[in-house]
Amino acid sequence: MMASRFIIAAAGVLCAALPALPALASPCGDRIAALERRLEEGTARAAATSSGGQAVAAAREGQASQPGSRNEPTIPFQKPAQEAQATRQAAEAGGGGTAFAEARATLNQARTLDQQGNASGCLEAIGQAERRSALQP
Amino acid sequence: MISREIGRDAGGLANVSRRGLVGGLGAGALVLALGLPRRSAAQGQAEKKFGAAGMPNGWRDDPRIFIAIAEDGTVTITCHRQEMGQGVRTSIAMVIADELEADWDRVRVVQADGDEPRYGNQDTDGSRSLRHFFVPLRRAGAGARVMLEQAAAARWGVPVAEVRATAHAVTHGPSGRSLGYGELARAASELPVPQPDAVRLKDPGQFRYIGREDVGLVDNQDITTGRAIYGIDARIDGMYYAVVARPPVYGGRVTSVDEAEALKVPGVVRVVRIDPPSIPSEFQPVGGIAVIARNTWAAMRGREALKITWEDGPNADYSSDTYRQKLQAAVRQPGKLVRSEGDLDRAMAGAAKRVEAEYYIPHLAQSPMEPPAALVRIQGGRCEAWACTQAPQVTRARLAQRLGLPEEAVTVHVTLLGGGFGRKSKPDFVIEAGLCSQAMDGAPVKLTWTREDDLSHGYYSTVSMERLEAGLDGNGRPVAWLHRSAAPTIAALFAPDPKHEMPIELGMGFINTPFAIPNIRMENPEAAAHVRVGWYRSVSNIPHAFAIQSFVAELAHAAGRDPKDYLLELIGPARTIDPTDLGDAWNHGEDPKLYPIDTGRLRRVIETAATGIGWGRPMPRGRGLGIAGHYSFVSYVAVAVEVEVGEGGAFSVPRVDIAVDCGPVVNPDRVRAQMEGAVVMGHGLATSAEISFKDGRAEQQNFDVYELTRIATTPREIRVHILPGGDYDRPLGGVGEPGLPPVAPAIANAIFAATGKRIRRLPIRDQINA
Repeated sequence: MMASRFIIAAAGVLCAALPALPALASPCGDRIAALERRLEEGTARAAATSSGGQAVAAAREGQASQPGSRNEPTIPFQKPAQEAQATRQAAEAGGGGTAFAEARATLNQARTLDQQGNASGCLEAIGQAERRSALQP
Repeated sequence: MISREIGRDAGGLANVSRRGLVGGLGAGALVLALGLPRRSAAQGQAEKKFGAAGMPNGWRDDPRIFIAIAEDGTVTITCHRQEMGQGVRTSIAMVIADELEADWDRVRVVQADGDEPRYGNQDTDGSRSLRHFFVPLRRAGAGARVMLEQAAAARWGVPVAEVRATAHAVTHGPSGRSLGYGELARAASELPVPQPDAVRLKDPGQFRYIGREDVGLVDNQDITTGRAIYGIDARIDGMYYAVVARPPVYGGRVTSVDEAEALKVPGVVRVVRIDPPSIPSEFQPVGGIAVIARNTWAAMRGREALKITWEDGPNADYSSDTYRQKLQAAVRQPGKLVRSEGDLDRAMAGAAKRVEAEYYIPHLAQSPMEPPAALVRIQGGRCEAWACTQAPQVTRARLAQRLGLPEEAVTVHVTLLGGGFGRKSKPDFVIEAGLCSQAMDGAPVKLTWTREDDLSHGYYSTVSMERLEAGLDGNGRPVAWLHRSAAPTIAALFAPDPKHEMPIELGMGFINTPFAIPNIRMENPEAAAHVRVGWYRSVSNIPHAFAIQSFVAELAHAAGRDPKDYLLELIGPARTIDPTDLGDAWNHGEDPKLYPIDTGRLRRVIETAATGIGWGRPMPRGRGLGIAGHYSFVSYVAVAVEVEVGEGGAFSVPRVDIAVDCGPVVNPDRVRAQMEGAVVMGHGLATSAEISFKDGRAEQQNFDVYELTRIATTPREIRVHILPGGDYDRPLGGVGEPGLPPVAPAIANAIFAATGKRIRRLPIRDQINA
């Protein structure tokens, strides 16, 4: 009995935790929905371009995680031109840095504020999320 | 043709044990590897980016690359992944031989050189050799089988549909005629390779080797008789031996050296300076002074006689005690937001009870039983290396770059690895050997790291401080969860002074934590690196799992609940989660649609481990059970531990039950071995292993103080439960690494159950009585 009550409660908790809840109809809600779509579209590319071997992936991501980094690698990579291209792709796709995770987190904050009816807070958060997602294609 | 294919395994080593194989094939032997291999689909399809296709140089499935059949019927399989005890040479051969319908007793395995354009990706890391190559290598084996069938049908002038390859021969059903593979090899080799969609894979019900527990290791005989060749065993005529005196502090350099006494040591022939790299150092040697001699002992004696003045550089003040305080201060302040759901502040404020804890995990060294070692020679503008490397293509590229040679002029022969654990993914030691050979006008030089070198100049596992806070409701259920993780990042090898974890680190059991909690916030405060931080088996999953799984047990205690039940409740009902919804766009490089997080699978391994150890049974005084479950490398593992704590706080582990769901299983014996190994290694890092620094210097130089688990303290009984993997059409999970993360928290939780002492800092050592 206890277990079944918990499962029902957990399911409720789970539903509340789902990040894909539809946003309220509001200017902020519209921007949340639009950014959500952009992040989803960018995800496949982000995941793919950051999926190299640990050595190469770490190299790419190490560079891409630097603010504004578009520098050449300190040490030449396996195929310099190829790796430079991969690094650029990783950075551009957001898989190279933490832009995706940050944007997703801030988007969720905006969604919570929107659901709480905090329009100004939502707009501020969605603005941050949009800026963080700027690395997304 | 045969010599090009098979001879590379010998690589000219005088002590290669498989020379007999080469000779045995004999003149006139035939290989299927004629002509240029077909370009794999991965090369031409930019849109396919996940899994093996997303790796540098992708995958290959051309049978001519991997399979050679001699006229005596011997099947030679080329293994392009590196063997370090995980049994990959056996498992890959099982896959190919099965689809080929080869007789296992007539199969030989040779090791590929580093050549990713030919073989596809060769980085043997990330628990993905079979995950990425199971399907391509099945196609390779099946493709060769189809070619043999076509050759037989042509010989008899019958339809291909009337012939069938079985057990190393092709038989014509209606007439009963039969031809062995050796008799068909030449004709088959002249046929075009079938297109992948024309290749019929076997029904898994017909597998001969895949999934069987009783296929012995192909290297077992050599390993157990001492004939196996590891990097440290490589030897060719006329070679020199070298060791290097390296800066005791990362980023340091030589300011002066007096080599006179070193050169007086009998056998020492030359002293060579190796320039330090710029920082970040990537995979380059840290610099120092190499001593080259006629034997290793002389080189070591010569190194001891050097008089070197070091400049310690920017990390001279790095000390673990003060750095731990820095990390602690960092996690007590907000950090970079990396995951957020709900309203954490409001939920915390309204919680009936709040719990908080901080967990510290020190640096670790991979310390493979065989330290890094490599042999290099340069002749006629060509360089050959023999090395125990996990990443031969990376090694080839870096060696070529540092020696000023075109990559095509460098050949990297891969020996067996006496353990790797991530250390041997970095080719700095091979580059050192190359520089020594270059200094000796190309003469062969074998460079050896001692245990002291390995522990003092490693690519250490990161040091980490994890802070967790939770708010519980009136029923003891968590309504708010805050986790801050501060740890120097591996990115510091590649970029100047990064201070935040990368996606691949965040995605190792941190932001992808699949708990059903409505209000979650995860933050990543800054942490600077002061040593070379590298990947160590299971990487950031170690600190994340230790903290999270320990904290869950703490919450259970605070709520007055059973820890196993509470963990299952936090995971919630069985469901699949798209990791990108949690902010994890990495997902171990895998397609989230193929590899979502499946909480049902996580629940099952926890329940299986709990059942195995008899969770809930009455425990005598001084004994306790602990449990932990973790998802990593797209596999699910849970560990249940029984500890016995004696007078004075000394404790032992009478029993461990470890349950793994890694999807379909190719080689159950190897899965079992990997889980057993993970328990032993996890026991070591939980109980005694630590690399600490003082004034920038590692304080542990050998196994007297860097304590790994030994026979006397190994868990007395380890029971491995492999959950049914189901259909072989399902994607495979990783095996090499995911067993490790839940071991330490399960031990710590068991100690709490036995004693009431909570372990929040590794290693445990004598904390029980502290």
